[in-house]
Amino acid sequence: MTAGAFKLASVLLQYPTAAVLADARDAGGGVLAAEAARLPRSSAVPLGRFLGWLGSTPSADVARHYVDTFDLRRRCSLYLTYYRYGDTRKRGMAMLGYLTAYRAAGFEPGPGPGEAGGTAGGAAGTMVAGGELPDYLPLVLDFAALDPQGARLLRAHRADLELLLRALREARSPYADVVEAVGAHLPGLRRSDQALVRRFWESGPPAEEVGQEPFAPPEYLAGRRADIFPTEMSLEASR
Amino acid sequence: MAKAVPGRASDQAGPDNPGPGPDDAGRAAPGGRGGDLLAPLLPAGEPVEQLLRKAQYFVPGGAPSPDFREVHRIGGRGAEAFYRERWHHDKVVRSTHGVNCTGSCSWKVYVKDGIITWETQQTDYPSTGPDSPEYEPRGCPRGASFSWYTYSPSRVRYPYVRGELLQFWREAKARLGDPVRAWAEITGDPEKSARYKQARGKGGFVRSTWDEVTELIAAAHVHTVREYGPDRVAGFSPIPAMSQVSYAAGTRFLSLIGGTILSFYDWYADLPPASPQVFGDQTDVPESGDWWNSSYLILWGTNLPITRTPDAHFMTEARYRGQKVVVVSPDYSDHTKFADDWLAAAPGTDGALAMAMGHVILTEFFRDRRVPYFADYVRTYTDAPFLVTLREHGEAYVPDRFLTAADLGDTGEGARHKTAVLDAATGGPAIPNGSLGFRFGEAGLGRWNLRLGDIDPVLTLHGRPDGSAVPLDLPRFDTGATEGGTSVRRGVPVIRIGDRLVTTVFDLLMAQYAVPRDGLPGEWPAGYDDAATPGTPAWQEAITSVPAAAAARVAREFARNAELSRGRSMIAMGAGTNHWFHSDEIYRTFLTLIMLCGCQGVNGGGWAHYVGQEKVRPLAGWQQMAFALDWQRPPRHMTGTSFFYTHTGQWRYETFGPDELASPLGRGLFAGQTFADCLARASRLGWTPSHPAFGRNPLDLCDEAARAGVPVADYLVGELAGGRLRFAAEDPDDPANWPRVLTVWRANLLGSSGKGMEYFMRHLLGTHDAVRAQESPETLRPAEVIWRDEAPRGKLDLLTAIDFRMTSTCTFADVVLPAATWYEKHDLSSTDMHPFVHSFNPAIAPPWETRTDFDAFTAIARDFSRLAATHLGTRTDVVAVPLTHDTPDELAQPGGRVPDLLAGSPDAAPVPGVTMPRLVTIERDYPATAAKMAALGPLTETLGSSVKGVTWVPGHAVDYLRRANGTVRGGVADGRPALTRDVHLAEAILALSGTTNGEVALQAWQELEKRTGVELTDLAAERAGDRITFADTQVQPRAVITSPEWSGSETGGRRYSPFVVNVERMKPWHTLTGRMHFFLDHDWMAEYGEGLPAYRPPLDYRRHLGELGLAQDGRPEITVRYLTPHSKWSIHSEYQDNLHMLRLFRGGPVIWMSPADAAAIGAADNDWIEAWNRNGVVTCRAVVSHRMPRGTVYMYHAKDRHLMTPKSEISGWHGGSDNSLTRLVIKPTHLIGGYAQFSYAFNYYGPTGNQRDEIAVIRKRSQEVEF
Repeated sequence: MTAGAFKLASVLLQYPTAAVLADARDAGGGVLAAEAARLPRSSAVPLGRFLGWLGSTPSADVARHYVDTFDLRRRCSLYLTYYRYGDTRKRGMAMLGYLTAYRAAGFEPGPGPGEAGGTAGGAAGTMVAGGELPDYLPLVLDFAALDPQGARLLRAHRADLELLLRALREARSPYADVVEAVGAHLPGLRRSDQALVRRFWESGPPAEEVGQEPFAPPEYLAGRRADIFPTEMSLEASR
Repeated sequence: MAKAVPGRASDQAGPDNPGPGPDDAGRAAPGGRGGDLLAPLLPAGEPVEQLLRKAQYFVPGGAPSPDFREVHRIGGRGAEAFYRERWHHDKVVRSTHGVNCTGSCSWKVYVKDGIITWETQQTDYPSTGPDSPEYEPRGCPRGASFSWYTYSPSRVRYPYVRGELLQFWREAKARLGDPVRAWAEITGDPEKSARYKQARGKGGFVRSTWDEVTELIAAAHVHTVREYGPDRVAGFSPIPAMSQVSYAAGTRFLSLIGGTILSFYDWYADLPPASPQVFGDQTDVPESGDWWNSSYLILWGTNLPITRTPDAHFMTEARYRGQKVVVVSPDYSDHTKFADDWLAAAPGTDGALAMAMGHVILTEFFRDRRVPYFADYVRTYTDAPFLVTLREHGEAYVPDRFLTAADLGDTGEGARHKTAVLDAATGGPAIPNGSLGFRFGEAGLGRWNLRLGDIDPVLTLHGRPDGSAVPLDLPRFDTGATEGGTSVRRGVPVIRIGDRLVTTVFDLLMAQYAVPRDGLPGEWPAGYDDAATPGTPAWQEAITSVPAAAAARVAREFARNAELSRGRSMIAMGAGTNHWFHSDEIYRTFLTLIMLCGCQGVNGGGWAHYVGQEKVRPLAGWQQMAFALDWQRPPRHMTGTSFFYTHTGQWRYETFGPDELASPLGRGLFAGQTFADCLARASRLGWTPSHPAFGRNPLDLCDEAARAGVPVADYLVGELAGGRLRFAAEDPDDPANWPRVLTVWRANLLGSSGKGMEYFMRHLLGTHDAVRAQESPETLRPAEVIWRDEAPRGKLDLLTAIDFRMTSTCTFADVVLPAATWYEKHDLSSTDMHPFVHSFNPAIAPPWETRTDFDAFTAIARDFSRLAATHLGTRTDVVAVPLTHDTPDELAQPGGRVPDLLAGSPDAAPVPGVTMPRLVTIERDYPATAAKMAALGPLTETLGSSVKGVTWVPGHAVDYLRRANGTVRGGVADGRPALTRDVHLAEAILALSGTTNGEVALQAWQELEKRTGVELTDLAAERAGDRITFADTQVQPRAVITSPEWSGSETGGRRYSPFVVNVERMKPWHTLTGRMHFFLDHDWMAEYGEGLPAYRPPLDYRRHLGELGLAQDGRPEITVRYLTPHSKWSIHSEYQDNLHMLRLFRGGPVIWMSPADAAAIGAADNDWIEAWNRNGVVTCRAVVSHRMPRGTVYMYHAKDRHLMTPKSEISGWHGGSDNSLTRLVIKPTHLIGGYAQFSYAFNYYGPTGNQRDEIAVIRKRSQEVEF
């Protein structure tokens, strides 16, 4: 049941193909709709809503919406490590965490993109099969449909998923329904997750800290020592 | 393994996998709306059933038994390795950052499990030797953040096409069955083309596939070549040095099809036109290691710690060695804090300060005291002793032109380009070696050198018994009702030679710099403190606000240091002084100080121009590759500024004409003209390139000539003379003359360099804009260029951007191709900041659908060739080639006279190569384009390589490439060395260049020895056997070999300083006299009063534009000088979109203001403000800081408008980028050609896209903003 929901979400969160769209439009009830209907209400309802939108929206609009939402908007990134690690050097290690999970479950990284057949040239294979990064949500969901470790991986990144959901809701994207359906098959947010969500929702992804230690005593930088510089400077510094 | 990667899936729709085709999808969707027949915007995809039943991204692991009944998995504790290997990397790959930074720092890129985890600086640069600090490590925070582009969520990962265009395309192609006809139909349909053009910049991208997109691009190229001409296809990519292969991939394709290649250096206004004018060389500057050798350094308009971050340490280190650092900057900037002396000259007034310094130096070191080193230097290496004729003007005289051998009755070879001095020994005129007249002919062989022999040139005629003195009128620009200023009466000593009155350049300089000498007529200053006459320290104080005493002190120190150290005084200059309309005059006042003090061509001395300057050190090989000179010559090089001025319609919005700038001492040459007329005239005269060239397709013109049975050149001249054909520049708005296809790669043309961005939007792209200007009034419309009442909107049919970032250019493009980053390809990098060549290497293969520029253009060329087979075949093309620098074309128009004027009627009987461009026909085998691109053509072995006038045939190097790269089998390139991969191209660049192949360097020096008659080969002899291969550059950055591709010397491990070879070996500069020029004698220079260095203030836009304020509801507003310096947190638009850099300061666009200016509009720090002028509107936050002087604001250059830019109150659109407030103005003197150093070469000479003279109005805006 859970596996089915993850798999369905994995398919739906990828760039729409003509086949997916045709199925969604099948008036007699397509495979996708049937699959969704077999799920518990908590995920069947949002997925049904999404499939309804997919089936009734011109394909060009679906494609544009997808590109606008996932390709051109950072806050709706499908790469889960981005939310908590942003553009910092920790992100590479976080991605490796995913890779390690896959490997622990017995999956070896496959060929990277542009290396059909897996004959890695000068550069090594960079991605798991399919030419994607290891934290790409459809890929993680594909894994979760395959192996129970996947659900654990998603639980560990519950906050990231929630941030994506919030961003999609804020952008009024129908894709929010798909992410909501995934969430329905995971435990609710723990207190620590909620704190993370609050923090990153307000501040965005974190900034790099390496090499940015202050060169002066903290009280100087914070502008508390008002006696040592003129007013305008203290304003400037305490900004 | 079945994959369903979006975008690739259509490949899988075959017999075995009957995925629904485009039409099927529409039919299979009964629920879909009828208008949705175009579901084919999407890839077909795998059947859903199948998709849901199997793992897509995972293949079950483990080894199956032979009967597949069991799977064996061994291990299980592998996860522990993760922790053990936390700091262990699979590999560390050398790469660097390309295109837009001159740093050229080598980096280590760390890869773990196929993922780039971080980068650190390389530390293995070859040593500078025991007496100098080292280069390593190089880098800055911007480069250190680069790897995050690789996986950034906003990276361009797939090919995109705007939905509207893609729908039209798929529909038309399916119906017509032919891509070229489909493109013709779409672009020929006014309604369809207007629809997709207006959609530019408004989102709506959908993913496509490479196969589909390259075919679309190829079809657009084929159609445009056939219908309008190959010169209507254009490409823009800048700064080749920092990824030479990627640049060359695109320009090689364009060169082969005859496309127009746009220049960038002049367009960026980074090119200092003073360099060609004074040195006859584009830009040649010292490596940063040479700052260490300087003992007096003036930083004048270049903010080294910010813009030359990896090099700045040499400046701080040299201070410990006793170097004095003087900073000239209007604001308290990051480099100001290093200053021992800070001269806060007002923006744009630097020329006045430098004039006063020249006044002090000439007074104290030339008049009051004679410094033998200085006198010998200017006599040998500058035009100072050369004789100039005087022309009567009213009651006085004005300088006319150089006296030549022809004036003395010589009718021999080159006589009109052999300049004369007065010989102290004989008392008569003499013709020293080395001038242009010795450069190209037979008789000049072995005599093109600076040896004076027995000639002892007289520097000044002052005090000669055979001389007298006459009054001389000189221009001044700081007074008067127009930009042309007024004049000042001085005097010069003269003698009579024949019927001509002559003086020396040195005497003219003394007059121009107001240095009084006994017995000379005219008005002269009473002393340094006389502010009433131009040139003195007191005079400059009123203009610049630098105290007179400080100006005099720095001048004295600069010269005294040079005297004691024999020339080790240096001026580092940059955008702050170069991005002005009159940059050339500003720079000439600086270079005068350098030349007077004997600093040029000396280690630790001379000019150091640092803005956008670059150095493709392996120049000869790179030129062969980039412009396909191995197959056909010449390419269609075009000046970027002229192209964009013309085709973004900026010429239609003038408020004054070229006459406004002419000196009253001129002859009124520009009366009734506009800048567009000047451009058209310069194009007709062969001075400056002009592509698109003629009013008809050049391929058709050749066919017409063939039908008429006349040689193409004769046919064209006949058509032009008969008025049946005009230059395209004379009617740029004729649809036949529009550029139709533009490809931008390695560049953010619209977001970064697009001066007059809003005009781009309106006329070139045909989308919405925020232009607020009115078109030129009737009185300011062109005399010769045709004015069409309806200005075109949307000239371009196709704009393609190839990038890894979604820049402003991408958001306005029709097609966006995903590019490999700098950590994902093979390429070469070099710079003039250091003397090394090093490589880019892929740390990972290009991920997702991205490809290297090399692969992208290879794919486009393949599709182009395929479509060309049916639609183009082999055609003859005719290229209008401007009179070219470093060729005998320099002799075409002697004396700098404008042929138009002499002919009586405009352009009567133009002669190609003399009074009009050369007309060169080229056979273009269009279906063979891809095959030629991928092989080294035969001309390298027959015509050889030419660099800066030196030609040689690198035979052995070609043989080497045959063996190193392998040869092509079959086809047009059968047996030629292969260039099928990026590394092949890199290998060819290295093998064919003297800087990287000792044998080639030796060959080139030998050739130059023949012409100059001086010893040169020893410069390369020590490394004659060295060949730097691509593999070498992968191991370590490699120090280059001394080669005539450049003018300095690395021989014996020396630090590179330009013109060292000229000074030490007596090799001439590439100018008229063969020396560095104080004086320039072209008609148009004289018209502008710029024969000599002078102070010209910034353009007075307050007067030209009138009131710019809005004065709404009494809201306070302030008019300010609007400057756009380079940012600390980006390299142009790169990095400014990266969260690291956004957070080091406030992020997004800001305008820096002084507290006084902010108070005047009631704005506090961080308030939202709006700045506007007639060109557009900017909305951003204010940074209020004491750093800024009153009346001047800074907006950091190239903040892309899609980042944190709210909607404007004034325009309603997103407030623009820094270039929304800028606009091009052409300086006609930048168009001069056909005369000595005033001859065209790509990125060597051309009008600059300057922008610093702009003013803007600022007010506080509502603090409620909407994005």
